Amino acid sequence: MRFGRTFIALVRMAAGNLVRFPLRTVVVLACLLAAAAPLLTALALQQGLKDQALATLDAGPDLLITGDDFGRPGAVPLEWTDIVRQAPGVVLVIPRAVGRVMIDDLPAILVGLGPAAGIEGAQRRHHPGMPELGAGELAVGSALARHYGIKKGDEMRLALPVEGPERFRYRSFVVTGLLDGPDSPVWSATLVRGSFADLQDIFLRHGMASELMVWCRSGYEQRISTELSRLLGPAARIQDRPMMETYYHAGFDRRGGAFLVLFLAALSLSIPVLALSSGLGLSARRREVAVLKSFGWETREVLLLQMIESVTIAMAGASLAVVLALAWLVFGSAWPLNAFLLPGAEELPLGRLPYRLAWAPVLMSYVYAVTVTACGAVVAAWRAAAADPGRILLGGEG
Amino acid sequence: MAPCAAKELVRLEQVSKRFAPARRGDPPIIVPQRPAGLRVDRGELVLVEGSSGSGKSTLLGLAGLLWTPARGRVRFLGHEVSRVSPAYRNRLRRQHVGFAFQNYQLFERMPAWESVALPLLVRGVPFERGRERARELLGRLGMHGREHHRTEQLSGGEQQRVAVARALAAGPDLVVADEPLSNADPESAGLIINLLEHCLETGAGVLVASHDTRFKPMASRRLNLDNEETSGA
Amino acid sequence: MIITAPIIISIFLAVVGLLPGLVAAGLLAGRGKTYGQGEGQGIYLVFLLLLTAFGIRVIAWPLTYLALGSAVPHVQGAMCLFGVTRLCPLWANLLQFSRPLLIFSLGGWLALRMSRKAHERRTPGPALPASLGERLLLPGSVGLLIIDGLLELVVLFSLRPDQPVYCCGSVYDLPDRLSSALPQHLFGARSAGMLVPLMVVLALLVVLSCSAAAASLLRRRRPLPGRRLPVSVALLIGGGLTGFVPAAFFAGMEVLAPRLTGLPFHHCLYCLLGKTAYGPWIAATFAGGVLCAGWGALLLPPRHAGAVRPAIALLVTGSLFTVAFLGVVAAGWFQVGQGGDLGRCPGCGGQMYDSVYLVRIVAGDAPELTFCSPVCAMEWIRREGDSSRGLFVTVRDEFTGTWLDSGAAYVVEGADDIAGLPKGNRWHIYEYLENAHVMAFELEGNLVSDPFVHRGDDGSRP
Repeated sequence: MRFGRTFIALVRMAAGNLVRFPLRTVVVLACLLAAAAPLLTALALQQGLKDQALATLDAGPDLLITGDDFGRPGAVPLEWTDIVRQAPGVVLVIPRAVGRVMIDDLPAILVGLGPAAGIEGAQRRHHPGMPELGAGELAVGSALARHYGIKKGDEMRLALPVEGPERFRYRSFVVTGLLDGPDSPVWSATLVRGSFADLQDIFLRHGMASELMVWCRSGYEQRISTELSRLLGPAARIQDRPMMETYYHAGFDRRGGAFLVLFLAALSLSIPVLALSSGLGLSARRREVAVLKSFGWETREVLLLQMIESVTIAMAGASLAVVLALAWLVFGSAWPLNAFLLPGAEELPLGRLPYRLAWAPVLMSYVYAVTVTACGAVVAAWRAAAADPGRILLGGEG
Repeated sequence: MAPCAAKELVRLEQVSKRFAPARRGDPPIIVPQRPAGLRVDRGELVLVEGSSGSGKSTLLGLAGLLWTPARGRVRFLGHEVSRVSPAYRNRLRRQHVGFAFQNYQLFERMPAWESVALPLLVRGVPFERGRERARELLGRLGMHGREHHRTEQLSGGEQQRVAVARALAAGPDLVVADEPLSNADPESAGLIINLLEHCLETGAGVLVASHDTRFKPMASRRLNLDNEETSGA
Repeated sequence: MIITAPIIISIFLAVVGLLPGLVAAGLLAGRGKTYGQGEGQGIYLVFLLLLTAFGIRVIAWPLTYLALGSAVPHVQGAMCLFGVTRLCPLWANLLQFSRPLLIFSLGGWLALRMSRKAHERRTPGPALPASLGERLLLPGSVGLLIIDGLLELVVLFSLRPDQPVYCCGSVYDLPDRLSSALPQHLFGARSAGMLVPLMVVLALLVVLSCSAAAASLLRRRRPLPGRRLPVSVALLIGGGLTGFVPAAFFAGMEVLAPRLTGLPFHHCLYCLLGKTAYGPWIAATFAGGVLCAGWGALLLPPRHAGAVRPAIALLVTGSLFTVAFLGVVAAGWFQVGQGGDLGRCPGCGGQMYDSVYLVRIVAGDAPELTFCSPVCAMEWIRREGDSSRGLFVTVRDEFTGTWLDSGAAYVVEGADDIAGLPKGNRWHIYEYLENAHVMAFELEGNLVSDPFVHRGDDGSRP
């Protein structure tokens, strides 16, 4: 009971000390916020983007077939669609054309889906997709639409390459829809969808597709992959879902990882900074500790007091960091951190970006805060706790 | 250590303390230069006098168990404590000793009542009781209505009163006061002296280092470190 | 190197935990001889550094596993933490030993020192000399602190995404795994059934001996002349812990992991830790109980009065943690609070939970149906399958839980029903032929051709 009262008294005093030494408190909080808030923001954004990417992957094909063009992904002939469809275990094949065009000064990804080949009902089940587009029709991503002020019904002109001396020509399209909505992944914001035939015209690749999307019966992926390799030969590159997942993870983590490595440097710097800031007001604190010891305060009670102060600042700092991170994500779309994780974010108004602040990063920010304040305070705590109460009588600091 | 019924509170016999020299290689500094002794019993005030640097504060520190002597013996409540561990000395101070320092040594930005209640915090005294005790002591020192004023908002005399109140908050058996009237105006001095007399009546012992002549009539014994004279019983 | 947020934080904590160790080693090199005899401020700084390092290492312990777990998606072939540890097996295994040893050693030293200081506060007399245990544990702890920090850095920096690994099934699911072979050798063929009762008995022994020791200390008198009982109780606690720890590991692998993960033939503790809600709680209460009881035993018999209260506190805490461990294991065993209610089986009407025996059927454009077992699914197919076109039947591999098409799976019909389902079930599904062969032998059954074959074929079925 007495220990409980003593502990509560120490907590009160620790809270009072944080107010009495405002410079130290503010500097320590600022250090914690400066390190933890950007880290949490970036992690939440990375997690949100990953979630969306993996959801897209989950809804996507089991196998992706591209051509092999001198060791790089190349186009595939449309005849392959029938060959692939005949492989035992395949339920759906959809050819896709993907290309890049310039819209004024910005690049945009152009996508078109070809005619599906599969068993009855498979397309509805596996790839409900979007409304079909006719010749001359486009659906534009929301960020592009916002940037260029495009609305449904507007006309868009694209500069397209042609054979012959003119080299290029303009072709007009009508915008019949916008790729927008609460379920749209963020990268659809910079996409432009068109009809498959139009894409073949635009890129002068008649009879070809960029890739074939293949859906299979569960457990047959490996067998189908082997069979298709035999049938299509070395001209085909076949990627299964685990491989695609690995590329997704690697892509995100490479970008996020560079960010985190920079952060490791920032985290490491925070300890000496905190050690210095813990020394703010040290002489006054040594004097006070010496006075307390003259009343019979034990060194462990002084240390407990300092520990409570450190933990309180750490908890407050980490909590503020969480709040700041959420506000940054909601109101600021994590600018300018979003440029690290989402190329093009700095150029186009992508709108609200997906984020998810999982429990693990929040826990880690508390762990970081407590660790850093404890380590930064060790030397100051030692010097303060070593204060000699007798020196007070002699007029010294202790 | 058993609760104190003993009449003798503290006895110093031929004590001195060794301090490290300012410069490496110099000999250590011995204070006081000639070993001294004193005794404080319950209900009496002992006055230590001497010129600046004679070792008054050091003697007070040894009596108040802030240090162990390099030479001589210290007995506290009848027990030899010259060589006990720092942790045990701490415990004795917590239970039996109160200090009033020459430069007050109040905490910045702390309300007066909280300064006075500090010694009670780690004794597990309930918060409300501690605050009441602080208010009572400050009231007796004429500081009604000033309990919530912070240290910087108090005058020198008021700070001195708060320092003395803090020394007495836990009801110590031995009060050690170093120049408790050094900056006190006549009103403050009168109130402090009254409070110390009240302590003596309740059975505490008071050890004072001071040049102030107002303590002379109150002192049962006086020790002058300059000429090693001890007067009184 | 694989870079994820938990890995970065773990690297940071490893460095931050290493620095106090190095500084403490430097201070001790100069002042170690004065330890326990009129120590100066340098030794006090060592105490502060080690106290801070202790806190950091305790926090870092679960974070290390979180960091390794975060690397699982990046490592080819890894299904769980175990796969990640195969990137650097020697260092990873050493780290998993050094961490608990460090925490026990450092915590034990802190307990001994703080109890000595508590005694000094209460009794007149000069400072107590440090005990032999304290003087041995101090350099040992500092050494372990440095080694542990370095090991963790080596492990984390060794994580690379381009190296394929073999995962837990190829080690923990072998018939001759140690956790199965050793108990069988000691207790006979049916030893698996004895492991959980043995673990419970040893846990209760630890609880009772800790409680008895705490009670005798609380009474503050020697229950028998001399110091025999406290010494024997200390030995009893030590002996109980020595038996409890391996019993818990073996029971965990052989019985708890299969039951709690729902994979009846999978014996991986890492999967239990990383893939079940109970796993982390089981690990935390187990570690808390063993450590606190061990520290309490270190303080017995108490050399001085200052050790009495800490010993009581540690023994009581150790008992409570061990009781909590048994409670969490029981909760997992009976699936208390387990969500994942999948509704009623269309075949037998029984309540369905997530299990490896589930079967999913999609018939044409109809919604997906889930059945509790192959038996119910086969009955439905016999009833409805002929009239359906485009039947998709997906089943689960009993080793990994992976969903696969029934045509791609290998099916074993066992001699007995071991699933405990409402209509019973003797059919077992495997993704790999080797596993099917092994289990056909274990279950005293046969490989059979696809029992889910049906006449409503859409032409895509191989």
